Amino acid sequence: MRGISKQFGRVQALDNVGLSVTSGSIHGVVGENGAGKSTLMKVLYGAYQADSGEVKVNGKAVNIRSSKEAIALGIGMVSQHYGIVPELSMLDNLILGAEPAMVLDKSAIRERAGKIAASIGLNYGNDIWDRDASAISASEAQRLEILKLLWREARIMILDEPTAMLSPKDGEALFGSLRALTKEGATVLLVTHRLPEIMEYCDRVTVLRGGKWIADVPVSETNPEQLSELIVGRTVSVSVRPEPIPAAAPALEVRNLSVARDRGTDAVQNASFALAPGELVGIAGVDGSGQADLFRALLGVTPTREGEVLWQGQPITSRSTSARIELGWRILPEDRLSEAIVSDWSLIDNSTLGLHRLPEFADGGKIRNQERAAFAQKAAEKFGTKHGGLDAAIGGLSGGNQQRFVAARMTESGPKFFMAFQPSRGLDIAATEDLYKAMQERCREGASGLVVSFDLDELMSHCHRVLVMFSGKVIVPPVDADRDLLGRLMVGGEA
Amino acid sequence: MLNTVLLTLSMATPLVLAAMAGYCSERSGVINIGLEGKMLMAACVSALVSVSHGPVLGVLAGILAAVVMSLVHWLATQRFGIDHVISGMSLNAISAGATNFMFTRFSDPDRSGRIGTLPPLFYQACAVIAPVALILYVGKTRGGLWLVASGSDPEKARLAGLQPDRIRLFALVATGLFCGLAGAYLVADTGVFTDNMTAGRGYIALAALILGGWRVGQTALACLAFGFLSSLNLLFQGTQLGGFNLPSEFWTSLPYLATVIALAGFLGKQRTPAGLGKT
Repeated sequence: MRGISKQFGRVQALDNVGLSVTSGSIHGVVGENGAGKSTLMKVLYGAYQADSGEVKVNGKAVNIRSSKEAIALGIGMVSQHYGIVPELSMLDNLILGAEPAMVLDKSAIRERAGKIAASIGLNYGNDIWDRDASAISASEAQRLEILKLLWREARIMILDEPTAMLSPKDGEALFGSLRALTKEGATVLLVTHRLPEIMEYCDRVTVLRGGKWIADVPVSETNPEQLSELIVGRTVSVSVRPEPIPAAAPALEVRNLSVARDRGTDAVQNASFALAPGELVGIAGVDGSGQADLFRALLGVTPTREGEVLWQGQPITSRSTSARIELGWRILPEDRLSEAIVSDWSLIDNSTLGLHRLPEFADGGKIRNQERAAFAQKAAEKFGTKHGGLDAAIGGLSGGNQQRFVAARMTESGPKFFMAFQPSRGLDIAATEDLYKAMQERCREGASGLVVSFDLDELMSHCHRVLVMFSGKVIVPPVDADRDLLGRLMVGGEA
Repeated sequence: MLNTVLLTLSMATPLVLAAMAGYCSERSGVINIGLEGKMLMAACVSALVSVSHGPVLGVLAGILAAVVMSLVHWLATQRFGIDHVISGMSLNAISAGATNFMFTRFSDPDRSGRIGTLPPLFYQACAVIAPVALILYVGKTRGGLWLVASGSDPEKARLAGLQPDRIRLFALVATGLFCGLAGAYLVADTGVFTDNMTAGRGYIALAALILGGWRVGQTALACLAFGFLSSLNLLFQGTQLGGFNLPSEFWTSLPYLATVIALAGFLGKQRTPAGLGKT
């Protein structure tokens, strides 16, 4: 790919970017959010049209106008959010969009599917192929996505943040199968923000920043420090993990808390843990381990089935959500669009969403407009939310800017206890650091905080302590637990 | 006994056809509460055209009317982003008013006797063939896979290179076809068009679809069950049953009562297509 440029409205997403990949290699593409990694990959996959530039595949100039043409050229892509359709079987998902004929010969399809699975060391029988795809785990979905690329005979595979949803162990297995594929001549383009993956598995790496090409180096000639400098464009002060807080009377105590799921097993099973005043505690674990259910139950949005929640020694299990908010509890929810903002409302309206009954913002039934506007202004400035006026709908902002705004709503509204779900989602490295600094600052002032992240390193470098959630259970490891131990606990291993 | 079986089949025929219409639409991801209106329109148009141009053109005209209404539903929901339920309800309302107007305006008040129609057996054969054909289509063909995929997750289907809009267009044409047959059958069965003659069959078909968990075989069975309950109405109305003289209203209300009870009991384990109503 040479001289690729792409503009979205007034934003120059890609500015004269080049990328050259040797066949049979694993090539990393790194950069911050908004650096243009995904855009560049989507141009190659035909999902976007470049404004200028040229693409050559195997030495031949090509013009890729749609994903269909990309697939015909042997280019396949696994996007961050898997393209697995629920309700269809694994086999149906495998062939969807690339069916061999109008009338499907299922036995021939099964035979070829089995061969493909065997080629990356998977022994899939009919029982696996017939499973409903809505019931499969993240790592199985990831494998199915790669099988889909093989079904389409893709020789160039683009993987966008493939390990974002995987446990460390599943991640290693994934790279194992990718290595095996490159030995047979496949080429892998790996978009990631995790430098250890680059260092361990990639042959070369291309760095993008702000839509511009920055560097292209063999991995053997670089190191993580140099790479992160190239990515950010300045030296990043690596944050130092804060010292553990000495034991004290807990601010928040959770005793034997269980939360029911719609049917079957509990979403949260018998969770017991405590937070000291001023303590920032991380919850590690792969997605779907019950973190969101725990948060909703703590805030009183969903009922608990069993157990007790104590705040400063007082049981509050039966208190309403608004009573808990009045106590100074704040949340940064999992799903920004459906739980944190009202897209059509202005930034000002959104700034006190959920906080609208607090005396700072309401005088009886009347809104204190000035105070609210001042708070919105403060929240927008805190993490540098880029916006087109506080009166404009928040839905018009980019995901990262919405996240900056709702994160500031949590940290700047005087929290006594806060819960943040994947706070760094959509944020670049610098903004992530700022956000954690603000949370640590609140903790120094005496608040306590719970942070859920799927990125263990992020938690380990910012939190006083890290708990682990695995299939609904909260595990409280020793304070000095190392990365290996936590990683094992995340996938159900023994301490 | 034989009488009951025949009555059940004849009562179930429009339900099966309408439920298959609903199946095509809802499996593709389009909520279709407008089955009732489409059937009613098809019945009215087929009755009017049968009188003037003969039964074959009558059926075709009825189907065409239902297909046109289906396409309006497609335009409203897929092109203009109107809520699926609102669009469906509006079509039902328009249909109720328009059929009443058309029939009083265009039919000849002096004419009496049956409208010439295709034999009911034709429709009953259709009601047997349609579910079998749909099972084969969904299980064995590319088009069937695409239909289910676009109703399950249109966004991800799009990622796989499918065009859910287009798939839904085809699905809604099929919906119109089946609704058209169902409506025309009502006229063929009774020999006349009467105001609001569908009498909620579109909704009962929808209930059968929900009870059947959006699966063809189970849905057809649910239709048969509703057909059986409706046949009881005709068999037992006004007869003594074990010393009780149940009022005829009881028998008339039985299928509707069963719908309410069945839906209340089964809604807990819904197997709704996940992408229903999504774009």
